[in-house]
Amino acid sequence: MNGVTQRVGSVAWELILVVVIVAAWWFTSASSTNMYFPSLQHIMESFGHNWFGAGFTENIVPSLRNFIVGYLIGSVVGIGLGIAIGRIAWLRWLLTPAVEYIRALAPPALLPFFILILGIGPEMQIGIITEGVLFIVLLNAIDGAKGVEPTLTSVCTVYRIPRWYRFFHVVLPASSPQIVAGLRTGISLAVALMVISEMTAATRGIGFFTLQAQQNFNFVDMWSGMVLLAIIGVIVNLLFVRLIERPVLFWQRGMSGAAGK
Amino acid sequence: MSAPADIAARTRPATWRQRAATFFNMHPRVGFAIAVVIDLILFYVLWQVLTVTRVLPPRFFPTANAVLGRMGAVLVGSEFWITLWHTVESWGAGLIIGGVLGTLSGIVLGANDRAYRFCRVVIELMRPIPPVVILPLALLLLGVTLQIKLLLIFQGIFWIVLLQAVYGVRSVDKVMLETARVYGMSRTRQFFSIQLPGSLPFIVTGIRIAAIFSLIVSIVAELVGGAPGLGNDILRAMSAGDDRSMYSLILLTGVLGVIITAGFSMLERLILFWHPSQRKVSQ
Repeated sequence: MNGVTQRVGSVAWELILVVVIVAAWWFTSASSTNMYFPSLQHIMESFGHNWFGAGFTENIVPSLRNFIVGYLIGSVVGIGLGIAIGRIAWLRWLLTPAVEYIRALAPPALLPFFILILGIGPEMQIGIITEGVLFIVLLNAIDGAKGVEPTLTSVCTVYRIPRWYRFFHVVLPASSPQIVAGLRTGISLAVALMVISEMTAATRGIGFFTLQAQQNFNFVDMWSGMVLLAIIGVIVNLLFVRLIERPVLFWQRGMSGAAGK
Repeated sequence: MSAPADIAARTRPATWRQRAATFFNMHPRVGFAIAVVIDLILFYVLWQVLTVTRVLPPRFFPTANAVLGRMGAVLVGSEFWITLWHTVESWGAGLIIGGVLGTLSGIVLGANDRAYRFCRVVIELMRPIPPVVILPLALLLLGVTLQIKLLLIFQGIFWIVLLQAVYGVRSVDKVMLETARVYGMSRTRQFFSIQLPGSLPFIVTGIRIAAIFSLIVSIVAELVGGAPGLGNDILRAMSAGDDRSMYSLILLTGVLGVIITAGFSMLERLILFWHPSQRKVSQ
């Protein structure tokens, strides 16, 4: 009994602040006459109206499609190339400076380049998202693959374990913690690049809608867009932890625990 | 395998590949420097050949020589340095504000478990929101100013630095703290002699990541919000059809990133010279 109350108390303790902040926002904005800060009730009404009707297919679908396509291409290519570079010593040596340079180059700086060669449209947005995700994942995959325990590699050589088997059963699992870390950074970057590309040059999408609403002085719509984008950022991160990080790395915590770390 | 053959294999003179491998293992910096030169030459030759032979459409890709010429002109003119200053100014100011406030809040929350759990959900909800999301509102309230860049940078780095500081303070060995308490060390002394140095590796890593993020967010604010700086100039060069300037500025933005990354890695080594992660011997 006591344990249950304690647990309920500790969950409540963690949730108080969120509830207080939302409630404070709701009540202080309720009678707001400030154009820039409409009441939360109006924001939520316009949220339902904007995003659960025609706005869903018109703006949410293209945004999320670009995000998913760009993220998938970037991750797959990044993992493949990264492991190849990480496992081949001379290639890694040769490409390290190039990779370090690209790591330091801010991804949004390349946005105008993608607008130039791909024009305004989904190709450009998929292009910039792919580029950003690809290099983050690549860097992490290189680090992961080069750190594979040398003894494991030697054992594989001694037992003449075929390359493809070695790749899927030794190299990939051994580098997975680092690759997953890269994929997680990549997901935040992909959401950011999705919004940035839509706000800079697009004709549809949630980011486009939000900035357009601001320029047309529809501040309630603008707020509904900002709330949706914030929610997408949070949900995408949560989904990643639940659907990828934990299932893929379920063995890792147990292992490091056993090692007494 | 018979013993004599084994010995013969071992005493065989090393091939040039083995020698090269040993040399580069012993002098990683020399190997890196050689790779830098080769990469630069490869990049230049590849770009020049692909553009001169028109494999890359000339409409979008000027030759490497043309871009290098423009880059020289850009570097000589004063306009570039003013633009660069706008970016560097917001980068530095944003990093200091977000870094200091994030570190202080993180240390307080790291040392106080109840307070940390009280704020945890809000931190977890705020952290994944991309800074650019608040741009439309910030444009209304602040206009195209330095403050808008600082606000975006704050959203971009504050939570990262804060969480790093929290993890850092929590990573400090409990036994060490209890020992200090048993020996009657004052609370202040415990903080400065044990908790702060113990959490420093995490905090410094957080600041290094924040330094790169601060630059990225500065460029986003310039690109999307229209604040003066490199991001804005790259976009304007593109809109004006001046692709040589666009490529020059993108490449120079990369150089700025390299300088910042290298600088903060060096700072990390200097501050943490005593820490096992920075010492070769212990590894």
